[in-house]
Formats: sequence, structure tokens, C-alpha cells
Amino acid sequence: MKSPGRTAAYNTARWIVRTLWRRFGTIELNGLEHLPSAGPCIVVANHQSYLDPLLLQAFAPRLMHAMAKSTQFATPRMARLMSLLYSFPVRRYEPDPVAVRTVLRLLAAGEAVMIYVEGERSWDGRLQPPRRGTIRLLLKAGVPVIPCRIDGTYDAWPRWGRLARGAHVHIAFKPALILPRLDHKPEREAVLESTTGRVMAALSAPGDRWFAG
Amino acid sequence: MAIADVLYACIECGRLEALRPADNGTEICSRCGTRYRRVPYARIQVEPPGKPAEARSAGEWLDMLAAASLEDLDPARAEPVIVRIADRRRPHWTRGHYLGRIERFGPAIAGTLLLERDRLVFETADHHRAEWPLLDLTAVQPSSRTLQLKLRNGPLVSIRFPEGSAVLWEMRVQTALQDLYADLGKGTILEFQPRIVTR
Repeated sequence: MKSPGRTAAYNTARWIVRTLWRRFGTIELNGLEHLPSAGPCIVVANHQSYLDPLLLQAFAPRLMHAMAKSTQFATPRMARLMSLLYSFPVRRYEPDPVAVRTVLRLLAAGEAVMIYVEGERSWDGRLQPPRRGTIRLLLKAGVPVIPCRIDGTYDAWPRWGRLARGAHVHIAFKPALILPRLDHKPEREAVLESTTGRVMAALSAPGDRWFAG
Repeated sequence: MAIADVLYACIECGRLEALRPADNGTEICSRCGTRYRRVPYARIQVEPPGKPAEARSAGEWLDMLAAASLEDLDPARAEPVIVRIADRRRPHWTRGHYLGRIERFGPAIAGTLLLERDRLVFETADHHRAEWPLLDLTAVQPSSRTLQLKLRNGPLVSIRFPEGSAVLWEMRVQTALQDLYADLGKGTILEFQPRIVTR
């Protein structure tokens, strides 16, 4: 599969988000050296707000294909918008082999894929338990996993908030986790718990269940 | 979205699903009159009548609710709901690639929802009734301010709670499922999505 490259519409959307956010709030990005400039990788992030995908796509130096819940594609207009932003759907209420194949196909083409490991926005800003299927997918893919901790988007627009407000957002990319590629399910299940611990420890902050200091 | 979506009970009096919209973006407990407002850093300020206001994070308030004895964690009343059912799917393609099938939700149907020991009962105002046995649920997931249920060999059902909390109803349905599975000797549920998995 040929790398799609950024479309003009995507670049325009990035410019709009960057311009609006700079009037609205502030942003700080750290650890960009941990995000490979080329080649396959999976960025796993915590999810605090609707703002997360917008700000990540707008400010990250590299295009990332984001996994998003299928119901966000429910109307043709939203489906077009999500596609414009390089999002692809996953059904969260049943195993979705098409979404897994899409991830593997994008990685085979040298693309970066972004997945929210909690599977949904946090109600209270704290890190939630991960989706075990996501950890299994990381082990199946066997590419560098880049943890990405997002803070401040919850302050700006919590899940229960009616409107967004200005805030300072901090996005930190962490050193890559090198996970083995495990083609067989028993191998993946054997290391599922330990891998979950590694991923969540890398994403956690003080106050989170997995925080190790 | 509202504070009532996350704070499923009044911090002051413990009444469940008590918060209602008030003026200036605040919410108020329908029983004791405690006011709730969003303050900087997404903290929630609670102002009980005649007492000083206190602001904490939603997580801190939720921890307090979890530790408190609340008035009613086993609902006997039917909850007003708005239900949408996704019984069709359409294929989705982007840049020449097939990316799966997307749900198509039908019209919104107003009615009430009652949680019984082994089933959910949805009834419309004109007394059309649908029963969803808990053992037929293959997944339970929150989505924005709705609770979504997947029925075995059936559709995805999306339920919105105009007067209630999707967080509370997720807890209620998950607790009822755990209890039913335990009663039937089917084990402990480890995951509720993408499918219910037991140990």
C-alpha cells in the first residue's frame, strides 16, 4: 500500500486547529525525538478530551492514522470528515478484524498509527484500564510503540463539559517500547499482563493506578 | 454534556440522579438545593445551602461518592430514556480501501427503561415493549453520554438518559450482569467489551 501523504484539505485543517488553539490556549510538546520521522510505529495515548485527536494531528510533525469508534462515522458528513483527518473506524462492541487488518496494512506501508489505549475518554481525567485487545494488537504488530501522555485537554474540555475553555496542554512522547512480534495467540496471552504493565506505566502520571514514580 | 453526567448523585444529600440544569450554567440538586458549577482546571465547585463552597476534581468527588452510602443503588423506578437502534450497516471506503461496515442508527424512540434481575425492559409511551435478557448481551459500552448494548445476533442499542447518568447506568447494568453470572455459576466477568469475557 502506497503511503497516502498529506492532502491539502488535511494541511488546511491542521493550520486552522493550530491557529485557533494558539489564540485559545497554549501547548507544549516534549519528546518529539522519540517519534520516528519515518517508518512504522504505533503511538498509544491516553484520552482525556475531544481535543486530543485534533491537537495531536495538528501539532505532531508526522501524519498519524487514528483509530476512532465506528459510531463517529455514522453520518455521511462525519464519515467524510473523519476520513479527511485520516481516521479509520473500529467497532468497539465486538471483535473487529477489519480494523486490525487496516492497522497492519498501514504499518506495512511504513505509516504511523495512533490508538487510545483506554478506548474512550476518561470521565475524571485519570487514566482508565486499557483495552486488552489493544495490547494484543501491539504484540501482533511488533513495531515500535511510542507512549504519548496528554495533559491539559481535560482541563480545557472534560467529557462532561458543555464547552471548551482555554488551557495549557502538554503532550509528551516517551521513549519507544520495543515489543516482540508474536504471531501466535498463546505467545501473546503469556505476556499480556506484563506488556500491559509496561505500556500503562509509561502513560501514567501521579495519581494514576499504574504510576511507578 | 453536564456535571450530572459524571456526578451521578448529590454530594451533599446522596440522592441519585438529582442534578438538574439551573441558571448561569450551574446545576442544582432537586432535593437539597446544592449548587454545582464548573470552575478552572475542570474542577467542580459544590455549594450546599448555608455552607461554604468547595471545589475538587471530578475524580475526588467520584471517590467520595463511591465511599458514601447512597440512597438507592437498586432502581425500582423506570428511567426515562431515548433509544436508537442500529440494525443496519453500510460499507465504508476511504482512498480505495475498505475499512469495515458502519452502523446506521434508526430514529430516536422515547420511553422508559427498567432494570430487572435478569433483563432490561424498554417500554414506549404507547406501550410497545421490548425485553432484552441480560444473558443475551454480548457487550456493554459507554459512548459519549449514552450506554450502548450489543445483543447476541441482534442490533446495537444506544440508550440516552435525559434525566439520568450514563455512568450510573453502566455501573447498574454491569453489576446486574456480574450478579447474574455469579448466580448461574458462569464465573466473574473480566471484560464487558468488545465482548463479555469471564474467568
